[in-house]
Amino acid sequence: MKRIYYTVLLLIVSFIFFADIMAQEKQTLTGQVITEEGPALGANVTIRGTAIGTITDVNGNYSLQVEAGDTIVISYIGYRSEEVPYTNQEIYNLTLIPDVTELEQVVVVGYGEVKKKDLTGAISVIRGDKLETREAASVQEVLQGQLAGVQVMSRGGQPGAEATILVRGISTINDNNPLYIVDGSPLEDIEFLNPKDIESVQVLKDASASAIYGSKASNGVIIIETKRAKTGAVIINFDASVGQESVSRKPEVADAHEYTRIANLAAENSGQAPIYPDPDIFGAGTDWWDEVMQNGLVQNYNLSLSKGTEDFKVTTGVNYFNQEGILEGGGYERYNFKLNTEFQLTPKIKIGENITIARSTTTNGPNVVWDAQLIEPITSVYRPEYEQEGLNEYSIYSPTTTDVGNPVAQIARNFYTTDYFRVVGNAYLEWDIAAGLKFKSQYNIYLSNWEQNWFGPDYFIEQTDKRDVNSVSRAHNNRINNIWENYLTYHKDLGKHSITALAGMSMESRLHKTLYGEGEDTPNNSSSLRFLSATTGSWQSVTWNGSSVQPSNEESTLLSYFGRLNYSFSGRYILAASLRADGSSKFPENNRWGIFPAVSGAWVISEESFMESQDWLNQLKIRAGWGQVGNQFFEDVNARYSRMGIYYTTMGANQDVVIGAAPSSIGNSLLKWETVEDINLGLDFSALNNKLVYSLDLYQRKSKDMILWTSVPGYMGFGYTQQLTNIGELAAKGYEMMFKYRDAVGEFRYELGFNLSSAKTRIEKLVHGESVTDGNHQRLDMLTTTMEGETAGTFYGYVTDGIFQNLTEINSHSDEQGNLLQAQAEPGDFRFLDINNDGILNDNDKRVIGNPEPDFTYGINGYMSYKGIDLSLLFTGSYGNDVLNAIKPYSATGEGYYNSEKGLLERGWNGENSTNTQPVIKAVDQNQNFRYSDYYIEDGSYIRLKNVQLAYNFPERILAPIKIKKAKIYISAENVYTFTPFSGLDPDMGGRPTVRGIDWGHYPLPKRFTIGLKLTL
Amino acid sequence: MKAKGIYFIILFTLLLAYSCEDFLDKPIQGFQVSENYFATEEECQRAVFGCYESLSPDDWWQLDFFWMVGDVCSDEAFKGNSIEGDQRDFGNLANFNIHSNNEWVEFKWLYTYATISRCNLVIDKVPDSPSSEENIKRFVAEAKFLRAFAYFELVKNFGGVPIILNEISAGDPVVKRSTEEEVFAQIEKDLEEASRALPLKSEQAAEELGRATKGAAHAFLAKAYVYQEKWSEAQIYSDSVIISGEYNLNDAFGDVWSVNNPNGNGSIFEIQHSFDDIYYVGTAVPVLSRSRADGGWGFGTPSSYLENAMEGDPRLSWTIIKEGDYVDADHPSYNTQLTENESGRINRKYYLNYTDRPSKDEHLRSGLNHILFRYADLLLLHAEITYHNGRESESLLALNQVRTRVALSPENAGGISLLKAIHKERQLELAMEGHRYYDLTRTGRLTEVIQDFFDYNQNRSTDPYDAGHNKGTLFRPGVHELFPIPASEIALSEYQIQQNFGY
Repeated sequence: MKRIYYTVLLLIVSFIFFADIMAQEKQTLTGQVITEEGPALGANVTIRGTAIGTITDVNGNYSLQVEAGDTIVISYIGYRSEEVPYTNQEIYNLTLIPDVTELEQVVVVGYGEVKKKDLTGAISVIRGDKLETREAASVQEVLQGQLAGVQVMSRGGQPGAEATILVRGISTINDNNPLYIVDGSPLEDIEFLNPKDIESVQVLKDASASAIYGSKASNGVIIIETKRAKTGAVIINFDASVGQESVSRKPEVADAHEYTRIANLAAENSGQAPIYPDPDIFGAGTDWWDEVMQNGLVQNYNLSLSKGTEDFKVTTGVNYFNQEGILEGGGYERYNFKLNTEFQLTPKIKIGENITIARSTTTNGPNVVWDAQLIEPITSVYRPEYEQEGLNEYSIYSPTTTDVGNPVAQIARNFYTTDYFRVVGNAYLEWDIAAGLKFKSQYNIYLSNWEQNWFGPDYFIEQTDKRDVNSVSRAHNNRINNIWENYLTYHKDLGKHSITALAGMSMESRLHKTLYGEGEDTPNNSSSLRFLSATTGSWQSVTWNGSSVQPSNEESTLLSYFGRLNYSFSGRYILAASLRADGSSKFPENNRWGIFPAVSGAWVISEESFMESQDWLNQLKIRAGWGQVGNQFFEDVNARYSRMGIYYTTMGANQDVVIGAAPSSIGNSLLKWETVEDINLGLDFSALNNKLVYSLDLYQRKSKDMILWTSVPGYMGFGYTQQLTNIGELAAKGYEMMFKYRDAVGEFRYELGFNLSSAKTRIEKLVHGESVTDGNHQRLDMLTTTMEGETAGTFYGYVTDGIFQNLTEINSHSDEQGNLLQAQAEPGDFRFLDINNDGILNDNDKRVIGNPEPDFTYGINGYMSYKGIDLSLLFTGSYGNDVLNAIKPYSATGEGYYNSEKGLLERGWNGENSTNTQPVIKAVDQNQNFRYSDYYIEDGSYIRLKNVQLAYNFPERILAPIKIKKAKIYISAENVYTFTPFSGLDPDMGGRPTVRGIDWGHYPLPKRFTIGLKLTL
Repeated sequence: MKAKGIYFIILFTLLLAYSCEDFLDKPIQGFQVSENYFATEEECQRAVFGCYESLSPDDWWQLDFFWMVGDVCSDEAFKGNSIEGDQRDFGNLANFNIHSNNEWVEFKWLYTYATISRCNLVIDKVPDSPSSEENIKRFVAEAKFLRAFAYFELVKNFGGVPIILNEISAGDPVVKRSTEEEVFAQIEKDLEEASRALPLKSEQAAEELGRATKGAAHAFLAKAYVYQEKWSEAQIYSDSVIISGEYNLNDAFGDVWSVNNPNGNGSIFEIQHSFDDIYYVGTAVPVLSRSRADGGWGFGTPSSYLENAMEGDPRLSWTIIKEGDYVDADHPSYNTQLTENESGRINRKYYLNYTDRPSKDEHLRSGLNHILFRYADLLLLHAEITYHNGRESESLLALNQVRTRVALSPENAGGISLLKAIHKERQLELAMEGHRYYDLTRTGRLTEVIQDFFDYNQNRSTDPYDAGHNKGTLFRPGVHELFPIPASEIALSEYQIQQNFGY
C-alpha cells in the first residue's frame, strides 16, 4: 500500500522537476482567426498550461509571445478549439470549424445510429469522458445521478456489489433489470465491463425508442459503446489509481455501562430483579463495530493500446481491479482483457470482432453489520486464554448471551468464494451492397462459468453456535447464450426527403445448467482438504430426489423479426415507426408470438421559416411517441409444465424406503407475454450557441398481463407452490428533465448540469385482488404489502398515536361501550389507533404507513477547468421516499437483551410528559409497543456529495520532450458527505419492487479517497 | 453490382421468411410431467406411495407439528417452549389467541389438501392405466381411504370445507364450502368404497404392512359416525373391527409407542417412518417434543393438570417425563430445561432414547411411526357407541379390556357415570397423542374443561412449574371449537369462502 503511494508521488515529483529545466527564449507569433462567416472577433488565443494569452481583434488578428515547445490553444464559442504546437513559425492563420455540438452527435439507437437532433424517442445520452472522473467498480455505479430517467440505488458497499438500476421506475413487480447492448451484443449482465472503457452510454427510455428490441425492452435499454481505435499512430493509455475506503457513518450503540443499566431498567419496569446488580463495574466494554471494520484498499490499473489505419483498427487492453472492503473478511478482484479488431477486407466488406474475457473472485464475507450493532458489549471477543486450550482456532471466541453469533468468529470461519469467468463478445461482417444499402450479420456469444465454494470448519463456541462436523459444498452455474442477428439498412436522400429503412431477424438460444454438491467430514480443517473429494462422511444433500447432487438444465430460444422506417422532411418533420415480432419457446405453442409496434414523430420548430430570425435559438423540438414492448424475463423456462416430483417414504414390515411420486409444480398452459405500453411527450431546447441545453419528457405507461408468481387456492393441494400467471397491471406516470449550461470565461471553462426524474407507479390489478406480502422480518413479520391502488411494496402496519402518559389516557382509549382497546397497556406504552373503529385492535387496523417510492431522484454535476486544472463535482439525491429502519425492533426496544442505540436509557419514557415518541424501557412488552407500526418508518430523502475530483493536466511543453502526449494526476473522493434525516447508516438502498427501502443491515457505502495517474503515450 | 444486391435481398428475404418454428420447440430436459404419467403399473404404484408420503411431508413444519395441536389446545399440554418468539404462532394457538393468519392453521389446511389432490389424481388416472385390474381396484381404494382420512382431518379442524374430488386447475371457478354433513357423507362414501377393495391386515404381505386395510377403513367409519353421534351406524363398523380379530391389546402399554414396535398388535393405521442415512423419511415429532436440554425443541409440554388426573395410573410414567425423573441409564435425572419450559414436563410417548435417535437431522429423520388409530381408541369408541345404544354391558366389556391391560381394576359404573368413566379412560389412555381437543369438542365439553383448567392454574394449583399459567384467558366458547379458515384462502377465493363464526 505504502509503496504504491510512494511510486505515484515519485512520478509527480519528476514531472515538476522536468518542468523547471525546460525554460527557453520567447518569440512573436501573429495570425488571423476566421470562421465560415468571416473574421472571428474575440477568440481566445492562449498558451496551453499557462496564463499567457490574448484575444483577437475585429479582423480576427492576434499577436502573442511564444517559445519553442509551447502549444497554442485557439478557442471560440460555438467552434471547435484547436491546439497547435509552436514550431518556430512566424504566422499562423486558422479557419475554425463549427463545434460538432451535442445536436450533431451520433446516438446509437439499436441496429443503427441517429443524429441527436433527429431523435424522436426519449433517449438519454452521456459520453465516457463524463464518467471517467469516477473511481468505481461497476458501470451501474458510475451512472448514478448522471442521466435523467435513470435511477440507480446502491445494493450496499460490499466489494463487487452491483447497484440496482431502474429506467423510469419499476415497470413490473418482477425483474426490472434493463437490457444492455454492449457493442451490439444484447446482455443482461455487464459485470465484466470496465467502466473506464466506456465511450458512450445511451438509454432508450420509452417504448417508441426501445420497441425495436421487442420482448426484451420492457425495462428500458441501455446501449453502451466501448472505446475504439481511430485512424492514427499507436496510442497507449495507462491509468493507475489507489484508494482507501473507510466507514462513512459509525452507528452509535450503547457501551457496556449503558447496556447493563438499560437491562436493569427494563427488568425493574417489568417487576423483575436487576440483571446486573452492580452496573458500575462495566466500563466501555467491547466496541464490536471497530472489531469487524477496517480501512480497505482499492486498486485499479488499466493499460490499453490502440492503432488504426484505413484498413485495420485494433484496440486491446487489460484491467485489474481489487477492492478489500470496509468489513473484514470480504473482497473482490477482477481481471479483464479485451480485444477489438476491424478489417476492411475489400472496399465494400468489413469484418470485425469485440471480445472481453473477464475473471472475478468475490470473497463473500459474512454481513455482520447488524450483528456488530446488536451483540452485547459486555462480552469480550475471545475466551480467556485458559479456556482456549485444546480448542481449534475457530472455537477460541467468546460465546454470547444473545442469539447473535460472535461477529469476529463468524468472519474467522468464513471460507466462501464466488468465481466468475466470462467470455463475452461478437464477430460481425458488414457489406455495402449498393449505394445506401448495407447488410450486417453479427454473431454474439455470452459464456459464463460461475462457481461457488464454501467450507464450514467444525467449531464449538456454545451449544447453540457450533458445527460438529465440518462440511464443504460447491456449486456450478453455466450459461451459454448465442444470438445471431442479420439485418439490412437502406438510406436515401431525395431532395428534402430523407428515408432510412431497416429489416432484420435474430435467433437466440440460452442454455443454463447448474450442478451442486455438498459433503461433510473432511479429515481436518486445513486448506488442502477444503474440497469435496476430501469428504469422508455421507453425502448430506439429498433433497434433490435422492441424488447426492442437485442438477438443473434449462434451455430456451427466441426468434425475432424486426423492421424500422425513419423519415425526415427537411430536418423539420421527423417520423419513425418500428415493428418487432418475437417468438419465445417459454410460452405454450398458442401464445408464442408477440408483436411489438411503435411510432413516434418530432417537429423541429426551430427549422421552420418563421423561426429563422431567432438567432439565439439553436434547436426547439417537440416529440411524441407511442409503443409497446414485452417482457419474457422470467427464469423458469418450464413454467407451462406440471412436473412430477419424487417423494420418498417408508413402507412395510422392514420399514423400507419406497419411491413415491406426485406433482411438484403446477404448470400454466395459458401463459402469455407481458406487455408494456407507453406514451411519451418530449421537448428539446438548446440555445445561445448550444451553451444552454434543456430537455423535458412526460410519460404514461401501463404494464399489462404482468407475469407474476401467484398463489393458487390452497384446496388445489400444492401447498406454497406458486404458479406463473398473467394477472396484474401496473400503471406509471412520470417526468424527467435535464438542464445543462456551459460557457467559458477566458481560460476558465465550466459546465453545470442538473437532472431530475420522477416515476410514480400504481398497481392497478392483482390476481384475485390478492395482496402480495413480502419482506419477512423475524420480529415484525411481513413488512410490505403490494396491493391494488398503491405502489409495489408499501409499508403496511399499525399507526401509533403518541404515548399514554397516565392511566386516564389508557382508560379513555376505548370503544363506545367503554371496553378498553389496549387493556394490557401501562403508562409509557404506545397508543395505537383503531383505524376501522370496531373497538378491537387487530390486523384490520393496519394501513399504509410508508411509501418506498421517491417523489423524484436527481443529480447535480459541475465541471470546471482552468489552465490544466480540472474540478468535477457530483451530487446525487432522492426526495420523498420512506425507508424502514428494520434494526430498531431490536436496538430501540431496550428489552435488555440485544444492545441498544446509544442514549436510549435517557430517551425512553420515564414519567408523565417525559416523551411522546419513545416508549418506556421494559423487559416484557405486554402492550406490544414494538409491533410493526409507523414507529419504524423514516424519511429516506437524502442529498449526497457523491464524487469530487481534482485533476491536474501537465502542460505539453513539459510532456513533449519526454514523449508523453498527456499526463494527468488526480485525487478523487466518493461518498463524501450525505445530508439525510434518516437515522440509520445509509439511506441509499436498492431492493426489488416488493421489498425496497428497507434497511436490513445492508453493507453501508464507504467513503473512498483515491489518488490516480493517467498517462497517454 | 446492383444485380448482386438484388439477389442478396431476395436471399435475405427468404431467410426471414423461413419458418424457424422448430427452433422454438425445446424438448423437456430432465423431468416427467403429470399429463403423461401413469403410463406403467410402477408409476401408478409410485403415485399411491406419493399419497402416503403426503401424510408427513419431508420437513417438520408442514404437518408433523400440527399433531400436537390436539394436546396443546386442550387441558393436557401447553405450547411448552417458553421462548415467546420461538414459534410464536404455535403459542397463539395453544393460548387461544387464534387469528385467521395463524401459520399452523394455514399449514394444516394446505398440506391436508395436498393429500386430497394426490389422491384425486390417482383416482382419476389409475383406472385408465395399464395396471392389472386387481391393482387398479387396490390403488383406487387406498387413495379413497387416504382422501377420506384427509377430509376427516379437515372437518375436525375447520367444519365444512370445499369438497374437491377431481383434478382442478387454477382458472376453475371457486369451490365454496360444503356443510359438515356433506363432508361426512363424502368421508363415509369413500371409506365404504375403499373398505370393499382393501385387504385385512393379516392378508397383507410383509412389504405391504402400513398400507391401508379394511380394518382401518371400518375403524375410521366408526369414528366418523361417532363424530356425528350416529351411534347405530357407528356400531356396525366398530363391531366389524372387533369381530375381525385382527387387532388386540397384547402389546404392553409401554411398547405401544415404542420405536421398536412399528405396526404393533394394536395398530390400526399409522404413518410409517424410518431412519435412513440418505433419505428424509422420518418424522420430526420426537425432536419437537423433547426437552431443550436434551437436544429437543421443547414444544407440547404436559400440564400438571393432566398429571393430577393420572395420579396413581400406571400409564403416567409412560405419558409424562417430569423434571428429575429417572428415564433411562443415560437420563437418570431428567432435565426439562426449566428456564425454557412452561411446565417442567415433557411428553414420554414421543420420547426416543439415545440409541434410537438418528445421528443427524433428527428433525427430519426420526424413525418413530406416528399412530393415528390404535385398537384401544377403537375399543373406547365402541364403549361410547354401545353406551349410547343402551348396551352398557358391552360398553363395560370394551372399557375394561383397556383397563385390564394396564392392570387397573374393572369399572362397573352405569348410566351417566359410565359415560364419564369412558371419557376419563380416553383421556388417560390416549393422553398426549393428539386426541384430547377433538374429543372435547365433539362431546361439547371443551368450554367446561378449559374453564376448570384455567381455574385450577390460577387458584388451586400448587405445582412448582405451571401454577399461575394464564392459558384460557382468551378462550372464547362457541368459537374455539373450530379453527379459522386461513385468511389467505378466503382472499384467494375473492371472499366466496366464508370464515368460521367468531374469526
